[in-house]
Amino acid sequence: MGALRERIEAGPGGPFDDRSWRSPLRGPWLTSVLALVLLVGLLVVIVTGLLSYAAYDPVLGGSNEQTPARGLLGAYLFPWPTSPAWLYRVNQGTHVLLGIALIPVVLAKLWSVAPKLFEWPPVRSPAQALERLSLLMIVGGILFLIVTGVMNIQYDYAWGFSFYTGHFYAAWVFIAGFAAHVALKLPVMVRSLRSRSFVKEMGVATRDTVAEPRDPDLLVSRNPAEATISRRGALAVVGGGSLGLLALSVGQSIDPLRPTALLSPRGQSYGDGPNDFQVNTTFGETGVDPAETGALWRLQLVGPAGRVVTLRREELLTMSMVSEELPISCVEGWSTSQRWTGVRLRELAALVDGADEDSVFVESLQKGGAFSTHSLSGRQVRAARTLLALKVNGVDLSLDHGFPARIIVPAAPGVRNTKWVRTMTFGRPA
Amino acid sequence: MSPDAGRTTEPSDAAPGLDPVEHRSRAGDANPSPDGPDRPDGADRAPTRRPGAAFRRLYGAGPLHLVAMLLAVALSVYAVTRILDDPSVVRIALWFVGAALVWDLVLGPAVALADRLLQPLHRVGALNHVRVPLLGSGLLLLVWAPSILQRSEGVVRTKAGLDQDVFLGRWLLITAVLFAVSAALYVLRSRRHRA
Repeated sequence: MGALRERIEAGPGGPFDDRSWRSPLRGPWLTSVLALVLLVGLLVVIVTGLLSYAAYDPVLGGSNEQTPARGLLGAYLFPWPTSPAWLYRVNQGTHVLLGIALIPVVLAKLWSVAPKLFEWPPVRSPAQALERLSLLMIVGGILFLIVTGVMNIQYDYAWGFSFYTGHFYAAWVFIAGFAAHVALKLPVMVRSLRSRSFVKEMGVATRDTVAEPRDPDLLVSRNPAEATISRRGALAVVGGGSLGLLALSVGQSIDPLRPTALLSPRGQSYGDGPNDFQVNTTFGETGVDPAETGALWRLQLVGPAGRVVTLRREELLTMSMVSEELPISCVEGWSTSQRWTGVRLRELAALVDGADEDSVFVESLQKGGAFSTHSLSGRQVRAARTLLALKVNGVDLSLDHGFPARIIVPAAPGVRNTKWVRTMTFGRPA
Repeated sequence: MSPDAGRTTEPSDAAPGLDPVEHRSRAGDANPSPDGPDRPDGADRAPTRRPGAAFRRLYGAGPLHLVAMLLAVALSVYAVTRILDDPSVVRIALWFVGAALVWDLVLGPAVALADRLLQPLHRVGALNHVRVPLLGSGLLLLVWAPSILQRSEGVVRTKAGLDQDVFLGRWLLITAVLFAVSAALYVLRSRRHRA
């Protein structure tokens, strides 16, 4: 029995033998530098993510509410504003671009604490057992969020569940673990960062790089090898990876830089015509007969008291036209700013006495798409810059961009700008 | 991002058997409490009368640790129960746990192994000149794999009206540039070294 116990205490060897972890770079200081970057960066990603959910005005129901079981997880929701017009563009561009740029930092952080995963014995106390569970929440959570986010922006839906459902609920599991981890580890992080000067460390060459003093968390190798890269070099590789990813992605959100987004699906140009900008549901995908968009098309406005007004496109064109420079900003992070011309939505609402309602329910000619019907809030209906656009950049909308008419709302997610609008019902919940 | 930078030129003395004494002493000198060394763990010392010492001995950390953990678990459990009757919950859980396992047990070790194989390059000062472009190229592949491998060609065509066939070439080109720049730096550096 004694021999067996000794065998068990000795551990299975391999990565469970702490002498097999030999990098002299691992240690609380390096981990804490990466942790500090993630603390700040992930806080921004979390906040912009939660704001992005609010930007759909989920309380309006229907396709606005992609996660109807949210319960208290939606307790923070608030009516989404309509200005500044770039609000969602900046919010979502930040969420996606920063999320991508942090991937190397996340992976480096995981590398820096990898020996902890293979600690032996795996559990020494209830506290440690709970902490390991919380680490699964963080590690599984952040990797799940990265994988689903990165796949979603590339239209790879291999996971087979709703992106909204997965990304939203997993985010809350991650947030829970992240908050507890920060609360417990913040003092360790601060102490470790103070253990050496960042500036001085950035002057240490590879040949002078040695392991940190042994630490209570056992991150420092007990059997360090000779350094093959300095901490400066390692941080430069991580930072270079982040900057490289950022440089190759930022063009998806900034029109003049678009060709630089070499590997992003949204780096490609459609040409240089007035309708040659990013599309997210082509007309071909809708299954709509083009004839329905022609002379037969009518816009139907339904008021709260049942008043119905039907308009032909030519009649809309005789109403007072306004032009607004407004962005289309996708939840996927890409965006593009264009000059739209059309009728103010509030003027159309007034035709059926619907301008004071809490919402408008917009139906598209599109059949069956997840966002073929969608609601806008009363605030969005009344916003001066919310248009039913008929033209873009001085010419008629193309079929891909929503001809004969589409909604364009300032500051909102792109998918809320319903295309091929058929009916608008004011004051009707979804 | 740097994989395990350890060199294994000298044979490792880590035998799979291990001496348990070493391990016991490790567990002893290390503070198992995640709160840090300034809050000593009662297990190593004579029991004190400090309030909470018994709790600390039984639980392994202070009460605030337990509070933080329970809050985190409670919020997670709440989030999970919201979608317990959603048919996709199993798939979500699989991807959640799978993501951690694939990184910890497949990709992470694969990167470390690849790095071990590159270690002989250190003798000629070329290790980081191969490591860095390889990591850069691997990172781009990891992030943009669905596009580079054209995994969603059809969806991209119908949704965005775009093609995915440009990305493989672009990724290869960026990879080539990374290696070329790194090789040029290596040549410059070794020339300066000789001069």
